[in-house]
Amino acid sequence: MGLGVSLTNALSGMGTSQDALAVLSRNVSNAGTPGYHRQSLSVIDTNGVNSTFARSGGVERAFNQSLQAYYTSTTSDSSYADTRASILDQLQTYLGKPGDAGSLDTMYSSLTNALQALGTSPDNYATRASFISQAQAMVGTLNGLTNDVQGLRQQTETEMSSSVDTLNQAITALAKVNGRLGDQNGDQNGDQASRAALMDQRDRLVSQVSEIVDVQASYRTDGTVSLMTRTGVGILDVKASTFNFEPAGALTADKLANTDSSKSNVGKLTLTTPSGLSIDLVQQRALQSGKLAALVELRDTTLVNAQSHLDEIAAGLAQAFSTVTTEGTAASAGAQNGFSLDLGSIRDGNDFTIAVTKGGADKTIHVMRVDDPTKLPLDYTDANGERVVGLDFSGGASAVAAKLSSILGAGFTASGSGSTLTVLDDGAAGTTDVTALTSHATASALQNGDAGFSLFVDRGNADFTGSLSGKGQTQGFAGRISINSAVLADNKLLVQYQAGGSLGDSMRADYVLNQLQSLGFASTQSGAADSGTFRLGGTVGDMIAQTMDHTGSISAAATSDSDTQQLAMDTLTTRMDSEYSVNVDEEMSRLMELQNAYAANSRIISAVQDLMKRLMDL
Amino acid sequence: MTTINRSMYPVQTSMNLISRMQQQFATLQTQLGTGQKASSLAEMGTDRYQDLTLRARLGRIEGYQNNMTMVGVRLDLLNKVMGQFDTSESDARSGIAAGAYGSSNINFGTAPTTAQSRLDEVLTLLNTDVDGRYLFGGSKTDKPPVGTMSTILDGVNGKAGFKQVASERLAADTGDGLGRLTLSSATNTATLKEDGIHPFGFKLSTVTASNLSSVTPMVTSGPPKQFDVAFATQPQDGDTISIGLTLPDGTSSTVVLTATTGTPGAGQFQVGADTTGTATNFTAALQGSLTALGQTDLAVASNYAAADNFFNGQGQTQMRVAGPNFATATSLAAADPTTTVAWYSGADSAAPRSAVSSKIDDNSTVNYGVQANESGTLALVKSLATLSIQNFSTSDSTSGARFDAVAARNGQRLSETHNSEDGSIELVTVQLGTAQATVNNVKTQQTAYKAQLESMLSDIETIPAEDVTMQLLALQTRLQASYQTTSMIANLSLVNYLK
Repeated sequence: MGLGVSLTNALSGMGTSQDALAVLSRNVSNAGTPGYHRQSLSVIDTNGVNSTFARSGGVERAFNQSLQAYYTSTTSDSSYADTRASILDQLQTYLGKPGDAGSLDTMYSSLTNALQALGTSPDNYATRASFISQAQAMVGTLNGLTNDVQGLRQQTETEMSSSVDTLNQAITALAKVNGRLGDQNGDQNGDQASRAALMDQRDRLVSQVSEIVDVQASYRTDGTVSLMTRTGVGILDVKASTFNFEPAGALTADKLANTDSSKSNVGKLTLTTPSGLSIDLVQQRALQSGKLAALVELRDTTLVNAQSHLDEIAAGLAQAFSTVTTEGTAASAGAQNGFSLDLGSIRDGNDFTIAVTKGGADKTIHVMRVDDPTKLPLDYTDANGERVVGLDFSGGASAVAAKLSSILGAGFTASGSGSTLTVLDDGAAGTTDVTALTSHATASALQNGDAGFSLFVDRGNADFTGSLSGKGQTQGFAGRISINSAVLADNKLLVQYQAGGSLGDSMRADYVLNQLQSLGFASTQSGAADSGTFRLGGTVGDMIAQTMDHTGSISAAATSDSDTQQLAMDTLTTRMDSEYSVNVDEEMSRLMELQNAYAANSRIISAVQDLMKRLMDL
Repeated sequence: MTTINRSMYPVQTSMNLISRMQQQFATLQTQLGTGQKASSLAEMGTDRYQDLTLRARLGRIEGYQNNMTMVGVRLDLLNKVMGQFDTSESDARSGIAAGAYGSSNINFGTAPTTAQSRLDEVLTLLNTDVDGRYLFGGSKTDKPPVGTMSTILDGVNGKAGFKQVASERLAADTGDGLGRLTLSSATNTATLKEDGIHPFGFKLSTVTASNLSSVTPMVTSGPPKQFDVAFATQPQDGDTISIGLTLPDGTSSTVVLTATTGTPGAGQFQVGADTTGTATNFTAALQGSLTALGQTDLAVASNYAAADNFFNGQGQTQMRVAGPNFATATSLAAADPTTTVAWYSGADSAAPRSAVSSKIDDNSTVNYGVQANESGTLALVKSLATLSIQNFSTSDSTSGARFDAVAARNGQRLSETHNSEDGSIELVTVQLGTAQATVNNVKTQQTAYKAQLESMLSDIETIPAEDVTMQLLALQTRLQASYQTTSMIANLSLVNYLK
């Protein structure tokens, strides 16, 4: 052992102190840098031939893989909840708070009030005009809400588009980072500090990706990362896949997603793998969480439902005004009793109901006229729990009767001649009864003596009959509903149900008011896809209340979900803070230690030098 | 290089808490400011549906209350007008009394004039409107239901008014002066016969003789009806023969002729030399009596009959004598609206009250339709119009008798005995009063219900100010404490103490 050993030891000590200072200064300078992971220097005791000294073992970066995985999945969920909450919050704002001027229920309530006033003063021009202006306001509200909802759908596509751009950039950048991290011979391989910086960048990019799509990250030993969705679709392994989004242009209420991609009218979200394979992420249901999943769900389900609720309100409103109810006339044959009904006035989409008793049980069946053969067979239970059957009426009443017989089953006799349908019970046996046969037809003219009239019409002043043909008249009706131009031109038509009738006759106003208060509607069901969604049923007022309640509650649920996720995120951030972040106090105290160590080492060197000098002077 | 997302800038949890407290603070302030618990649909929570239901009910009640205010105004006015009609009716009834010609027969002039101004008033009242809505036209509320007095009486634009219709009827009823009867005598028999089958003039009803041994009246029921008065023997002085006649308005009159051996006065016939002479004298006397009656009672009755034809009531058609030639007319025909003034052009419903109704509650409806052609107002208009067209003058010897005939009919037609009839002014007033009471009851109920609903709504929607203030204070304390400790901790860094 000689002085040389002491000198070597002191020098190695100074060396590690310098290294440690370098790490420390980096920590302090990056204390505020987002995504910076605290680094530390490991110091190794080295036993030399005749000495023991310290040397720097390498820079370690604080990293906890399970915490990181949890963080990645929480980021996806939080972003999913956040996206839904923000869009649904907009939606509920559009509907308005109950009682606010311009909210859907206030508009409806003003409309019925104007109608009540019309019933009391049908002869007053101002009353009629104010009813028309209320009706216009109602129509305007429905049109406006449709625009709002479709605007939100449009917004989801725009956001999808920009999210996909961000996503592709992040994945490309991540692939580059992967490349540099994995390159064993890379110039930076020796430079621990820049490697740590690359890993910081890697983690930042992973969380950026996870915010948009839900990913699982697998970290390899060389520091590279591979990404796949939770459903197992690979996004990044060695090479990066590319997300593509083809927007569909302006979205309208009748542009809907379809499981058959050739019939789908919305923007297409695909993933192209490095090998060139293209996967439709929406059709394959590959996305479960993250911003994109939320946007897809909003665009294809939540907002479409909101629109269909508005459409049903509009349809209910139009039909409450235009439906002419005709009771069947009593008919009998021998001991058999029942009713006859003229089907002539029933239009495409209109229906007649038949109420029967069989073995003591009451049953009501709605028979709807369906002109579009592709919509048949149609047989479902509506939101009010009543059976709806669609039939082709083109074969006249006898064809309807034949089908009705098989629907009603044994114990009933249905027959038809011309346009008259007759349904009779089983007569003397007395096990069945026909209690009512009623048609609900859309009024065909404004002044043919019917109290019902088409105040609210479809585009081109066409009557709204609820036809299922094509896409169905109800779809998007809230956006097309308008006031009959003939009534706008002459508001006396609100009162005069026949030409030259008395203006003081409140029959039409009373009838419509009664219809609004009593006529029940039920959500239609066009396919199995609808089952399980919230369906409306009841009067127009009920449907409005249900829609507002439903929208309010899904929005509140989404906000509360988002808050919960935010809380989880907060907890996680605190954990990550304590694991990764730089504690300046800690660094400062270490600085003092290092200063002292450095000073002590240099003191040793100067002492050794002193001793050496003494030795030399001898 | 890339945009760095929010999750990469983690805000310290303590700071996060502070910002959340600030948001809460702002929310509480908004609540205190607006008095509302929630500021959006989503925030309303589980109360949302109840709130919507309550608001829908409140909205309906508001509509009904507006209706009731409107209906209330109409009912008030209707009641006032009906009261006015009642006064007019009693004034009209007492306006003319048999024999009350006044000094110098002044009432000959004033009675028709007063009737005219009363008619004018009644017609004006029947055209009462509230804000353009006519109240006496049943469900036809957009046009004045009755014409003006001059139109109705004098006609307009070539259309005949009441005066013309009445004069035509008078011509038809008078015929050649005998009230559409023919009178002849042959040997000992005087024959009185209706001149055809028609509703005009005198209608023979009864014939009686006090001394049946002398006179045997014989009735051929026809139609046309015929009375044969055959003198089998000469009548005694004082024997009477009565002929009962029905007048066009349904009233009846009797001509009594007394046999006299002296010079015959009015209502007497002289017993002639033989039965043939007596028959001739009887015929002449009857001619005189019938002619006199034709100028008085028949004329007045004809006017009233014309009023019954012209002023058609509920479900009736306006009728007019088919002619010309009116003096020989044999039938009435439905009046052509292009040539005859229609006095009433409102709606004609058998149940006028329920023809106009207003919904004042989910389950109650108030009926308040009134038609000018209902029996009460119709009788008033008829009587006033008939009196208005009378022309009494002192120089006309028939004036007194006509005045009395009008007075008798006027009193009978406007008598209080009609009060219990459907559509009488009194009954309509009672029915409207019931409607008004219904409105008031429902209004009271609804006001109470509304208050209840509003208090429920306010329980849901409004915040208890004390609670919010307390929460604000508590939050303020916490927030202040948080600020203070946060700032203290932030200052507490080793960096500050290193020299």
